[in-house]
Amino acid sequence: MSSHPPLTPAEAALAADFAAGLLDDEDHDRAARLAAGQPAFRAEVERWTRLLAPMLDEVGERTPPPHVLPAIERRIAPANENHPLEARLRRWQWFGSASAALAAALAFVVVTGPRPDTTLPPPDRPPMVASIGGDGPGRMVAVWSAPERKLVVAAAAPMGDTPGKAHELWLIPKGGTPKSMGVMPAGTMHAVLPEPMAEAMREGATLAISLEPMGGSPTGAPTGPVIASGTLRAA
Amino acid sequence: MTRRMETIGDAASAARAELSGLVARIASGDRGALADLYRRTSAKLYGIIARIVPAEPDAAEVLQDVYLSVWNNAGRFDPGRASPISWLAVMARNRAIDRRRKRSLPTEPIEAAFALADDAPSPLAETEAAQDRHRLADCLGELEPAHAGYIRAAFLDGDSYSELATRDSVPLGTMKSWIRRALIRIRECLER
Repeated sequence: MSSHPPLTPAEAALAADFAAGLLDDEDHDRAARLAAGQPAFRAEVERWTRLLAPMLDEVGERTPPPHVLPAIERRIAPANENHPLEARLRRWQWFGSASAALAAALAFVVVTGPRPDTTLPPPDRPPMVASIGGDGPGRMVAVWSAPERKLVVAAAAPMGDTPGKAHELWLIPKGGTPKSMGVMPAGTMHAVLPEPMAEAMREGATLAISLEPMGGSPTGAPTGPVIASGTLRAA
Repeated sequence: MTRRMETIGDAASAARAELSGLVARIASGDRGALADLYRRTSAKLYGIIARIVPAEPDAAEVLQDVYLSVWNNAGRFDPGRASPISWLAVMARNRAIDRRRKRSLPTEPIEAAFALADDAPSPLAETEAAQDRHRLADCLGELEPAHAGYIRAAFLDGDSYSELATRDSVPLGTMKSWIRRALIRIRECLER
């Protein structure tokens, strides 16, 4: 595991306050961002949460309104089999507020993916997607169209910045070593991949994001902690 | 007596194993398992949420979010590291606090971390969970009653520093230092 820089006393106090539920709106948001981006801070919040969580046992039960379960079942209902992309989209929308960016990313596959007859991608190369997440709230969604070698990576929930660090995207083929796909831009990433890399974009390959020095890994291999990862699957 | 304790312990472990089994089925996309989990745990979670977010439409929405999050993250739950009900309870409580603080971002990090912590203790039997509960109650009991009350109000009701300070007409800085000292004492008490 990555070595964590020690917390300052102020950060340690903030972690305790956050876990205990004491922070007002702005400080709560700040602590939530720290928890998402800083493993040491997150570990401290966890430690406090574990200490205090047994209090929850004493809270009495209360019957929820009857409409909640049907609403949940509607949200997880299988989508029309003819529209698997829509089904995936519905699931991802829960990941965060940036579903517009996500919808835009998926729209590209909807537009460029299944086409009638001659332009259909070969059956072994359907559009693929990966939901790239980690312990933090941030989550990226990658959509890959093999025929055009196009990759779009959009935020489903913002990853949050770590000052002085870049987010570098890696492709890890099944059983292979990480290959850099470059430093992630602030917004949505669009790329046309070179052929050898496109070859490795297969079901089961992993996309991962690591924290690197500004400008990217100096060695060509990941040097910082992996903050998010996800597996490529058929969309 | 011993025999009765064993029976209770067995029933608790069986319940825990059943809930863990449901979570594993949810991770594989079994919608019926999510409905079963809801039927067995929603009253507990709704009790936790409604204390923090009293308005029913908001509490119901938080409850819905929690189960949708379970649907999406069930694969990340590690039954060897947390009991399923603790995982769910912490998730519900954190979501409710977020709603009360009007945050827009989801809170997956904390509940996920709770289940995935590298330095997580070995799995607790339910009897150990009961011991934890009693130890925490004992440690809270060693504090000034008012200070223990503040910690409970924060953790269980979502009251913030400034809400507590206003409620009891205490300067904010004083409230902060009382509660921080109380938290440190609780940790020392629990970890000794």
